Amino acid sequence: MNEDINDEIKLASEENITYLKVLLKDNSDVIFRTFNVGEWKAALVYIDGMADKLLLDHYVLEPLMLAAKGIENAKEIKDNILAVTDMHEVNKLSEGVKAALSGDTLMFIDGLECAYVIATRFWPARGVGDPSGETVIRGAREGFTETIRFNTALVRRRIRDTRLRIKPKSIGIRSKTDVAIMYIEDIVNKDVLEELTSRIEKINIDAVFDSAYIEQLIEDNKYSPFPQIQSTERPDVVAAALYEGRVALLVDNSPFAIIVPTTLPNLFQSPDDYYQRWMHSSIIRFLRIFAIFISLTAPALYVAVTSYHTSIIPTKLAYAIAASREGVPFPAFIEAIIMELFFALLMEAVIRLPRPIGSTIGIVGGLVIGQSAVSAGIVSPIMIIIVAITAITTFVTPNYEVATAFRLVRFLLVIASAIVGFYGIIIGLILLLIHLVRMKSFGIPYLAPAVSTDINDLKDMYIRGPLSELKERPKYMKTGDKIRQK
Amino acid sequence: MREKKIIGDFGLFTTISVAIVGVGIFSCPREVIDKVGSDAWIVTLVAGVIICLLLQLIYTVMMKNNFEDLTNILQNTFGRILGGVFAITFAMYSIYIVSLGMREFVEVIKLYLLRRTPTEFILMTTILTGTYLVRGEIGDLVKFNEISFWLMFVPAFTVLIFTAVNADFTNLLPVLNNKPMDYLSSSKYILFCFGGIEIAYLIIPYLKNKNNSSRILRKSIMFVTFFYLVVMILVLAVFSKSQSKILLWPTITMIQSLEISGTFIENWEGIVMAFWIFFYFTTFVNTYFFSGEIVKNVFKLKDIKLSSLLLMPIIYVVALYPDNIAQLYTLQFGTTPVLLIAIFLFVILPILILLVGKNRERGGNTNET
Amino acid sequence: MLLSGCWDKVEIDRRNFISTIAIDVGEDIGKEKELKKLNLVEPSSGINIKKINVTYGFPDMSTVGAEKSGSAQEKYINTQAYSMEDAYSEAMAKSSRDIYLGHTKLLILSSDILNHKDTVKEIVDYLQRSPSINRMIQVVVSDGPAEDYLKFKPETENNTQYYISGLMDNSDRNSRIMSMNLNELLILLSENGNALLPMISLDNERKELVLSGAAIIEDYELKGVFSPIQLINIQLLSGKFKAGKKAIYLDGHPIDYLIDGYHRKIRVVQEGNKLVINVDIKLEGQIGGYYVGKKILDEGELQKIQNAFNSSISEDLRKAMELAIKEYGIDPFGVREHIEKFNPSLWNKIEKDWKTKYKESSVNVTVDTKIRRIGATQ
Repeated sequence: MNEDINDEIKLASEENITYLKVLLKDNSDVIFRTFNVGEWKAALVYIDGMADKLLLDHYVLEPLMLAAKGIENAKEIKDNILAVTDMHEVNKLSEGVKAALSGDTLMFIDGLECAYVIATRFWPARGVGDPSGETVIRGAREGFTETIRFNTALVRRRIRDTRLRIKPKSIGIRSKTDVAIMYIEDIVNKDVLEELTSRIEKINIDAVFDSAYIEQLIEDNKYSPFPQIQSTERPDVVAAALYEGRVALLVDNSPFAIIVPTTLPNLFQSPDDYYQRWMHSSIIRFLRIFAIFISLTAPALYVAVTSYHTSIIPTKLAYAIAASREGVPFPAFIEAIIMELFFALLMEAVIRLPRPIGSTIGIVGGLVIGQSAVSAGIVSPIMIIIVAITAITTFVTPNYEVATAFRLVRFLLVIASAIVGFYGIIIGLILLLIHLVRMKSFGIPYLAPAVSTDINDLKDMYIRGPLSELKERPKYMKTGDKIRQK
Repeated sequence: MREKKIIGDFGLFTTISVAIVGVGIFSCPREVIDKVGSDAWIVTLVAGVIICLLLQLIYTVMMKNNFEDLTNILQNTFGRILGGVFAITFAMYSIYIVSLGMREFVEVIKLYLLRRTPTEFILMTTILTGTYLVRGEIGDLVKFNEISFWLMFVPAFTVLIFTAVNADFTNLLPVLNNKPMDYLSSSKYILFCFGGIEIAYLIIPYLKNKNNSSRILRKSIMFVTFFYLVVMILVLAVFSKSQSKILLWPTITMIQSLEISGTFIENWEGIVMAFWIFFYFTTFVNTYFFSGEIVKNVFKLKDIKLSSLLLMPIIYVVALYPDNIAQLYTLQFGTTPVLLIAIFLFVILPILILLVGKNRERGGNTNET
Repeated sequence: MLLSGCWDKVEIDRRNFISTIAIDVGEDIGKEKELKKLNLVEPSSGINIKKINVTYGFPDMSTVGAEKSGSAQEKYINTQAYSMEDAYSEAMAKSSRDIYLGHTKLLILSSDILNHKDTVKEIVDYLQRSPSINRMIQVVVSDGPAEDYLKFKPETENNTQYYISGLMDNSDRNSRIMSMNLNELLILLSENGNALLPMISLDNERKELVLSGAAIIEDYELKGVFSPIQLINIQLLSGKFKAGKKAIYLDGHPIDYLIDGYHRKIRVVQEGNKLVINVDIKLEGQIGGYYVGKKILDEGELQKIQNAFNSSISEDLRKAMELAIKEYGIDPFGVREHIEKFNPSLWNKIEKDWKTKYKESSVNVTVDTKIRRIGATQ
């Protein structure tokens, strides 16, 4: 799988070019430009479409060709002639080739044992726009793009501290994707950083397309439906995480940064929680907890109550439900499964369709088909309500992956409820709790700070205390520097 | 195990509270009120004090022995064989009590929730779920307890407050109108309800903050006593003595009689059942872990996973053993051997450990001079 | 085992929600004495005796479609059985849906069945033991066969159960009606076998169903009936009074006194060998109606009226209490509990002879009425 490149840079630039022409044959976008600098021959290698030709024309070729007369030795070229800000030497041919394939320009000059790499990366990129999945009411509307350098800039603007570190790594044998590990030196939890670095070094895959690949290769527990690494498109979320002692990874070609370690409460927070005032945020947080509970258990409770323990609901409601289920051919359990299935299909379809059609189908599918199903007597109206409630509460959770995990759990709870009613639901929830309790993300318990509680941490968990009170960084993170605010 | 200092103060507090408060609160009001009528709450208070002292005893034993594992202490003090025997007795006793408790648990589920579901099925699912947790480390167990604590007590207190509406607190009189013998015989029941303190043997070695723990232990016992007091008082107030004597599980019936118009829930028995399951499960899983640890240490097994597998069938068999609910109660409280073993394990054994330990110290000192 | 599961599942639309249970005497009730001699299990002989006649009333769900709710027609299942549990299984045999008692709201006991102590005890045991019958169901005694009451079609409501519950809810505003739920009833019965149960009677000519006072149950048997007026007095004496009215005749016209505030204190002392029960009652209220032309906005006038009420009410109450004590020997006033709780030393002495001492006790009632308001006119 590994490439086989002769690393020696020949003194004669022509020889290097000949070698490269063979190495990179059958590529119409690799451009070789040979020219003369005074008495010496020189050559440029770059990729059409990735390198900034304008920069090459005006600031590389022009000065070189024009100032050809007065040059004493090759070293002067770098120091006095080339009017570019970012260039460096390489001694290995493979490094130079990699740079060229990334959009930089490789320059050979006769007589030099090294080659020069000039930074000329320039390609059409999507502008910084709204992060599509994570909208907030108040707060920046910037989202990451696919270019890693722009992304690191977006984060750096929020952390102008000398102790910010952006360490580069290259992952993927063939894709050689640029990855940046970001953290704040004196805040970060050193154990987590070490663990992360060692896990990344162990990755041995040929291509990385998105941060999701890396996420799946370094996570703690593959067999759990719950995500253990947070992914976000928002630079302010990344910056906030770094301030809490966590580590962020930015991956080239991916607008999603991943943050490590992640606990379940992290996944339920939205940056809005901090931009709104504390009372409002606290209420919203409670609402979210309530919504989670409903979203997990609503269909299961429906099945349990109608099939097993009808005495729990008020009498009039029981009559209403019984009346509305007259003539429905399926037992409550099958109804629930059918509706869940239908809803999942609807959601998938809506995502794949182009936007205007998508929303129309969503409404049409939901309303019309639901209504027709009721009129035809296939499902009962109560079931439609339950499904609608479930859907709405599911989307209160800000994180899509968690919502998917919940869908699976909800399905299992419905089955458990169908077998043994209420008892099944409770045992199912206990099993879920045990599963979550046993999970760790890079050494931090997955449910912190709900467990291993320090009283201070509770100020930011179920409620959001006033900003002036959030003086210390979260204790469960075991950060270096502990004080946020005095 | 791996790290030695992983359990914080809150973890200790919740574990003790959650391990002790089990299904006892549902059935023991009947037995105590049966014997001493409206003085049940006094008996509860006294029992709480006694348990507090016993717990302090455990802590002292641990402290004097350098906070080592229980099995190690027993074997160091009494020699490998005798110590091992004591340890296994402890484990077996705990399993016995908890398995009978599981049977009671299942009987109530069958009565109120699932009439025709086979007992074996409910037993199996509960045991398997418990095993899933026990296969982790002690840190996981404590984390589970921490969350369960909130999930159990917050709703419990809320519901209990609502039941106070139906209460007539004059039912608590008269005070101290019973024969002394009655007080003594009722204490047997109430002390069983406080069972579960042996979990302290399991956790104390892993505490982060060993010096403060004595205070925390006291606080948790106070909390548990308070909770039991509230339940006892409410049951008396709502039902008065005579009805309480008849009802097998007065707490359940009390919550069943709640009628809050306008809420989504008309018959609260479903909610009670949810509590019931949680309360029992936490006690079960903590005791299971404790016994598993002992078995693992005595037989020098590598992992608690193996010892839990060994214990699983034992629990299942013991739980299925009583033929009916009457036999269940006799087995729990009536047989004298069980009582004697309990007294031995909780009172005599710790004192023995302290005495023998002191002798050894003295012996060691004289040797040095 | 898992796949064969769902053992307890019953779909909600396969359930029959029983809203009322009516218990009457069966045809073989007279053979009750014979049955007492049955000891060992001789299934065939004892089991076929039709001791009780139980009617289960429920709304007919099949007439209600997906649109409407709660306004279904009432239907009945009638069974003859030897016990409540047997009645239940007989009913299941007669119903296409699962008989579900979890939402039952009303229990009607006929006065006839309350004459058979042992059967009543069996019924009470069933009610106590069953975990599925809600303890908050209301209990009434019917004058005559309970079945008729179940089949009665009231004017204002769709079914009997709503009607009777509605009536009992009114007891909050008018204490000539009392409400009793199963929980309270069981507590009272387990204490001393005595209780007061609201009674309903059917006026056949005018087709009305009314709550007509209270049935007096002593040691699980029906001993007598209190009329609504007497019931108000009893409620006043027992501390369970909520609101109501009292009237006297003054100068040939009735004055109505509406009571909205009430406080009762009870004291028991032993004088010689007899118990003396002292009841102090404080009442607060307003004048409801008198007579055109009479002015009562005068302190002296009001005082006169108050005094008149004092003597009238206390005399009324004393008579009612003595009636309850001497003739029926019941204690709805909580005298026994009072002594036991507040005077335990006295209780310990008289516990053994409680019944006789109670019957021989004398009663003093003092009433203090306060008329706070007289309405909108002078």
